Amino acid sequence: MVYLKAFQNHYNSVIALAPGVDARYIPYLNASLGILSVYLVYRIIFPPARPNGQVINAQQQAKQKSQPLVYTKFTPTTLQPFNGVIEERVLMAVKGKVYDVSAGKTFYGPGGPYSNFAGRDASRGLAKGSFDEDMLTPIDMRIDTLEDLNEEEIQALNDWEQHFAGKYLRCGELVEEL
Amino acid sequence: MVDLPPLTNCLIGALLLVIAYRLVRQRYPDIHPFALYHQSSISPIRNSEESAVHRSTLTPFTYPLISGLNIREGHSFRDGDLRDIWNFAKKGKLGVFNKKSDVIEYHDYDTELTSLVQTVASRFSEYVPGISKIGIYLPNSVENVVTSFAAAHYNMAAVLLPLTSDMDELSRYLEMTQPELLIFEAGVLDFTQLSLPESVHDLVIVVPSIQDHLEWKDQLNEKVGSSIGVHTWEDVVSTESPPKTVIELPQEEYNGPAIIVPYTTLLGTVESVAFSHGNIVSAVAAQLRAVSHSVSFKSTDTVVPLDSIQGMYTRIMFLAALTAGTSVVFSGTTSEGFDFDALRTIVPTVVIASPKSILHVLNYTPGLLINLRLKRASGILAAGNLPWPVLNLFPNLRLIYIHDDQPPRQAKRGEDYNNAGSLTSAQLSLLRALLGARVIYALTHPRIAGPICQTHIYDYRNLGPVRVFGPVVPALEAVVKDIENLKGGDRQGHLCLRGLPTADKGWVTTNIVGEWGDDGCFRELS
Repeated sequence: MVYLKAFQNHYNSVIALAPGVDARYIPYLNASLGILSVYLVYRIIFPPARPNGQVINAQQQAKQKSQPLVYTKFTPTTLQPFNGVIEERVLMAVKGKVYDVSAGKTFYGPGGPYSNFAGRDASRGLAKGSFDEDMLTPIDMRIDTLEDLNEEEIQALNDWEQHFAGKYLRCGELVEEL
Repeated sequence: MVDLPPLTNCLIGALLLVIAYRLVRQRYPDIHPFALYHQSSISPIRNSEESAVHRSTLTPFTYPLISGLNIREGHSFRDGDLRDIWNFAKKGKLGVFNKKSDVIEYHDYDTELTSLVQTVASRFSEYVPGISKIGIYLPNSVENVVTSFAAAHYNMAAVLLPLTSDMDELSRYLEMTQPELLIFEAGVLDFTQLSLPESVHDLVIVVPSIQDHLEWKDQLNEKVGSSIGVHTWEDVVSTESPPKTVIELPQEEYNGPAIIVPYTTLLGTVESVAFSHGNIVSAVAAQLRAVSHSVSFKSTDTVVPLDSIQGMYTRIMFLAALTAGTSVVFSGTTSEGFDFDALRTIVPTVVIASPKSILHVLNYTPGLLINLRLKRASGILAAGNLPWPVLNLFPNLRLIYIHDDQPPRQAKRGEDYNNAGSLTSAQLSLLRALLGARVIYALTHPRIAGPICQTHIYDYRNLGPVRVFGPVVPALEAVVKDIENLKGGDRQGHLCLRGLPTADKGWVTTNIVGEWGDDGCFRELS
C-alpha cells in the first residue's frame, strides 16, 4: 500500500514535469491508439477484398502492352514512305519479304549508312555488297527478279536474309500489285 | 524521455505488437501479380481480320508446342502413346468405391488389370474376328478402363458413346461411328427404341451381380435376335474357359484412331471425331506441363472423377492422373452431383467435376459465422493466397478441375441463350473460399482432346460475373477472327485453334465467341 502510494506520487510528479505532454491530451492519445490497434487487428482478420496496389500496378502495365502489327502486302510505291522520314517506321524488302527494321534505325534510318535501303527493295544491293543508289530498282519499274546474280551473290543474299529473319520482325511482303 | 500513463504505454505496446505480427506473418502471394497479367505469349504481328496468335507462356514462339510425354529411350526422346500411359499407371492403383459395404476396392494394374486387358482383347477378337472399333457405353468402372485400354493396346479404336438416356440420340451416334462390338451396363439400354447399325456383331453386357447374368443374357438374346452374339462380362473374363488364343501385344507404332467420340453439333447434326494416340498424349502431356510440378498430380494423390470418363475432357484428365501414377478412385455413382457420403470415405485430394455438380456446393446455407469466414477468405484470396476451407466437407481436397459445358457463343436472333452449365469468375472465387482448394476452370470443344484454355492454378482473382477461361494450353495456339460486328483487331471474335491435340489439319474453326483480355486470358464478352 505504501509502495503504491509512493509510485503514484512519483507518477504525478513526472507527469507534471514532462515537457510537451499535457495531461489533457492523454485521453485523446489513448483513444486514437486504441482505434488504430483495433483497426489493424480487424485488417489482419479481414484483409481487404479489393485488389492491392501491386495488382493494380500489374493491371495498368498490362493495359499499356504494345499492339501487334498487321501483316501487310506492299507494292514498291506503298513501301517507299516507310523510310523513317515520311512514316516513322523503317521498312525494307529482302527477296520479297518486308522487314520492320525500326529497331536498327541508326543503320537504316535517315542519316544512317544504309539509309538508301529504307522503304526500298534492298535485295540487289545486299547481294552485291553495295549500298549505292544505282543498286535500287526504280519505284515505277517491276520488282527485281534477281535472275542475273551469280552463285556467290545468291549466297551473300541468303546470309543477309537469315540475318534479317533472326533480328527483325517480318511484317509483310512485297508484291507487284495489290 | 517522455513518461506516459500506464494505459497509454500498454496501448503503444499493443500497437507495436500488432505491427510486429503483421510484419512477421506477412505472406507473399502464391504468384507475382505481374505473371497473372501476362498469361499468354502474344505474337508481335497479326493478320488482318484476326487477332495476334496467342500461346501459352510455357511454349512461346520459336518453341515447339508440347507433342508428347518425352519418354527417354537411349539418347532420344519419344512422345509415347496410350500403352506408355498404362505403364506409368502401374505406379498407382485403381479403386472403386463400393456403396453397400462402404469400402474402396483397389485393383492392381500389374497383377490384375494388365492380364485382364490381354484377356479382353483376345476374347473380343474371338467374338468378332478382325475387330477394329469397340463401342463403350459404361459408367466409370474397371470394365470401362480395361476395355478402352484393351483397344489401345491392340490397335483398335474405342468409341466413347456419351451416356445419354435418349435412345434415338444413341442410335444416331452408333450409326455415325459404326462399332463392331458394343459393351454396356445391364438395364441401361432400351432395345425396343434403340436401333443397332449393321456393323454391330456382338453385344457384351456388364451385369451387376454374378447370380443373374444368365437371366440377362437370355433376355437380351430374345430382343436382338440370333444374328448378333450376346456375351456377359463374366464370359469375357472367366478363367474356366480361357480364350483359345491369347494374342500377343503388338509392338509397332499405331497411327490409326485410338478414341472416337461422336457428338451433336449446335445445328443438331451428328458428327464424330477420331483422336490418334499422338493427339491424346499431347493433350495429356500439356495438362501435366500446364500445372506447375509442385501442385500437379502426384503419386500420393487420390483423384476422383465425378464426371463420366466417356467425356473427352474428363478422359484426358483421368489419363493425366494415371500418367502421374496417382490412385484414381471411381465414386460408383453415375448421377451428377456430389455423393457426400462416398466422398467422405474416399477422402479425395483432387476432384474432376462438371459445373452442375459443383453448383451443389455453391448452394450452401449461409450463417453469421460462415459469412464472416467467407469475408476473411475473400480477403486472403484477393491478397493472392489460398485460405482455409470455410465448409469442412472434404478435409484433404486441394485441387478441383471443372470444365464448361456451354462455351460462350453468339446467340442467334431471338434465341434464348442458356449458360446454366457454366461458372463465372465470382462463383469460382466463392468455390475456392468455400472449399479451400485451388480451382482450374477449362474451356472445351468436341474436336479438341482435353481443354482448349484453362485458368492458371494460382489465379485467384475475382473478376466479377463474367466467365474467364485463362490462357490456351501449351499444346495449342489460338486466334480470334472477325465475326459479324466483332473485330479480331480488337481481340474479339470467334476462336480458332491449331495444334497437336486435334485430328484436324490446319485451323479448327469453333463457334466459341469471346475476347482476349489485357491479361492474355480468353473470356466471355462482357
